[in-house]
Amino acid sequence: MKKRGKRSRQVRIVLLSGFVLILVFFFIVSALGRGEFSLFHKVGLEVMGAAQSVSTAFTGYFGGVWGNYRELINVREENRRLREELRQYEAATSRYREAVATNVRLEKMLGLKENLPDPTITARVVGRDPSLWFKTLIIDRGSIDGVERGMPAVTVEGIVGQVINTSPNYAKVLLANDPNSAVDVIVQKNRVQGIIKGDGNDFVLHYVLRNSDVEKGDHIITSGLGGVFPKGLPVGQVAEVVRSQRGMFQSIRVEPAADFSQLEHLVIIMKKTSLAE
Amino acid sequence: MTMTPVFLLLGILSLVLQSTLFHLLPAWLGRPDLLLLLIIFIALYLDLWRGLFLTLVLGMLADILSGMHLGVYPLVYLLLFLAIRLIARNLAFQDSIHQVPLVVGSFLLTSIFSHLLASLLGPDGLFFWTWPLLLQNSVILGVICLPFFHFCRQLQLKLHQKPARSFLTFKRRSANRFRV
Repeated sequence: MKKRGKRSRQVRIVLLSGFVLILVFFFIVSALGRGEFSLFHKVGLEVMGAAQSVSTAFTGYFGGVWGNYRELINVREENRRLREELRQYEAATSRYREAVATNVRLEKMLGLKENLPDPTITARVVGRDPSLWFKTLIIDRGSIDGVERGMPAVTVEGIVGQVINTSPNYAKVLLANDPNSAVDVIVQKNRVQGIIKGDGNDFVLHYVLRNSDVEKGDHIITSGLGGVFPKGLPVGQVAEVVRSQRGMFQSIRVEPAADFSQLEHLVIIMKKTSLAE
Repeated sequence: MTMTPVFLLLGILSLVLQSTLFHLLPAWLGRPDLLLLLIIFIALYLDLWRGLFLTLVLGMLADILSGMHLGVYPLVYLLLFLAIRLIARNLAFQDSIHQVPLVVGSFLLTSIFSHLLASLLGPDGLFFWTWPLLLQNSVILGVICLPFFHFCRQLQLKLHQKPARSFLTFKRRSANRFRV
């Protein structure tokens, strides 16, 4: 009996070890391969993208009303009727203001779309990366709409990132401030070239020689050399320049032109040749 | 049998909430990692194979919504699952008093491990590191873990008591087939 128990325990350990080994193998293959979504991932993105759409729409609708309500919690009882009226007016005003702001934003986007050389498509942000380390977004446009891996995403303010995975109706965008992202850029005033990389929050401009004239406030734009972003799109403004005594290059921190925490709509540039190819 | 899909749905709901609603919360509330809490609960209370299956699938689903490299979350969550199973053999983690340090420790370890993996796979070595956010989230997780585990435990007990039902219900016949 004891022998049998020992044997079954050994079998369990072997099975568990096999399972972990398979998983490690799976991880290595996924990491070293092209990193494209499998059928499971595509179906998963479809399901969770739809759930995120519903959740985003729900929170968007009730967020304004809830915000107004929260501000009125501590007001005295006798002013309740007046507060209720005020709340309704504020909610209505908030809705009108939101509608006007949306209108202005969409007008700007339309202007941007007309200025961009390639065909473009507008997408809504339905979900954000829940982790501390990674910076990605889920948008409500996918391969059915013609969105492909490697296509750049921009807003009126500036560049946002590029598409890294797609399913039929949704896509995942790697933000430009993610440490895995790199964009070829130039300093607008003197055309000094460099590469912008994300540091999780802001950008860091790499490979700018120490003797190059770069100052705080200089505008950084895309160079068009990387083959991803068209030339001349705003990237950000130089926030800090550190010239250390050693080394060939300057250390330059750039404040992004686009506010990554406030993204609601993006414009995807439908390039004919994507980065993935 | 109903337990697996229910906990799978709970995991999907946690992920969706983390990637949508939690971004609207005030900064001081952080973004609690509900999925990690669920994985810890699964490791503590569900049986081995069901737990392994759920951990793997939920890890793969987390990969879809987060990060760039596929396979990071299944690996991190599975190692966490196995580590908790191993530790829980000798320590009384079923008691609520021990669950808070377990959750905080698990969160810190998984964050460090996923950061390490991201840095190894990234183009430029080490990723950015943020202690304040990490500590803030670990404190929040420590606070909410007990009510979350209580909810999951109640759900598990309810599902356990519920008799398994088939989609096709057949009329039960008596043993006497010859009775008219």
